[in-house]
Amino acid sequence: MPMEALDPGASDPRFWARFHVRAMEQAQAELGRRQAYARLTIPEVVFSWRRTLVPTALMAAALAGILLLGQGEASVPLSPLALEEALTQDLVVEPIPSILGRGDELDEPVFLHLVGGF
Amino acid sequence: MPFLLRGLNKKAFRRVRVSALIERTDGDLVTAALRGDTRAFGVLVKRYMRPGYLVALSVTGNAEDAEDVAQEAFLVALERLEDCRDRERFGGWFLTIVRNRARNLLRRERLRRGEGLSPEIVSGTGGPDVDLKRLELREQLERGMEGLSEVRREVLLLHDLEGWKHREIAERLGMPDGTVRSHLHFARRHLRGYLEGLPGRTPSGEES
Repeated sequence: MPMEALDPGASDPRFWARFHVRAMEQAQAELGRRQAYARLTIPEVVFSWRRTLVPTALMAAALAGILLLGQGEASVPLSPLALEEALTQDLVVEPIPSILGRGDELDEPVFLHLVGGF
Repeated sequence: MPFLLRGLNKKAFRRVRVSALIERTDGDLVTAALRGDTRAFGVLVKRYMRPGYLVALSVTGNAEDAEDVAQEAFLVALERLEDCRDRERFGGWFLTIVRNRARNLLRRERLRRGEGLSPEIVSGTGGPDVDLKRLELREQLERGMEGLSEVRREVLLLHDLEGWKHREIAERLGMPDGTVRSHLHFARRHLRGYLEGLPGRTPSGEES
């Protein structure tokens, strides 16, 4: 079967040479990029980060400074309270019935009424 | 040793280097191309431009589209070269890219193909009559292949036009050897039958 008719190179002998040239022209940019990456050294890679790394570090430092300064102004010094004052502050206190001074006249039911409200 | 080298000129050195490159495996060439080696990529293009074109033709059925698809596929393959996991099987991976791009083009341009653009006449060395006959034969072959499945077209073109062996096709397309032979047998039979049915053609498809 005359399959060669499907080969464009059969009717145009320079077809495949032109195809190759065009493919290589299109690939030039990508090949150049790969060559550049292959030549990079470690110091060059680190140095290339300077454009993003340095401004980011400066911004982070500024933000941290602002936050720390803000915390310092908002704090109020606390006054130490004596323990008794702290325990009894704002309490509504009723006088405890003085039952210690009474003698044997205070029997059990009266005691419970006076103290526990029973 | 230096007196041996003195006799060789720069061109001879370059020829030796280029021929050494051509003998390298796909894996070696891909490894070099990953680093941007232009010569290594050039050898890969030379090695797969015809199979790529034929696979694209088997999908699109159109010579101009096949050429565009094959060209673009090389750039796509270079950009995604890291995705080629088995570098020794670059051929199969590349042809998969060609196939996918050709199918995408078909989907986008169904309407254009339906309108049936008339093919341009390519001027060759045989004069206008030979060009027309060749063009006519090409059209007949393309029409005959429309009756084949995509995979059978691909097998037929890679074997009969590109000269690949059954085992090579089986490996690159990811199918058993026997399946390749079967596809080839049916594809040839169908195409032969189509050409025989055309007026003015002998049983072998030659012009009477």
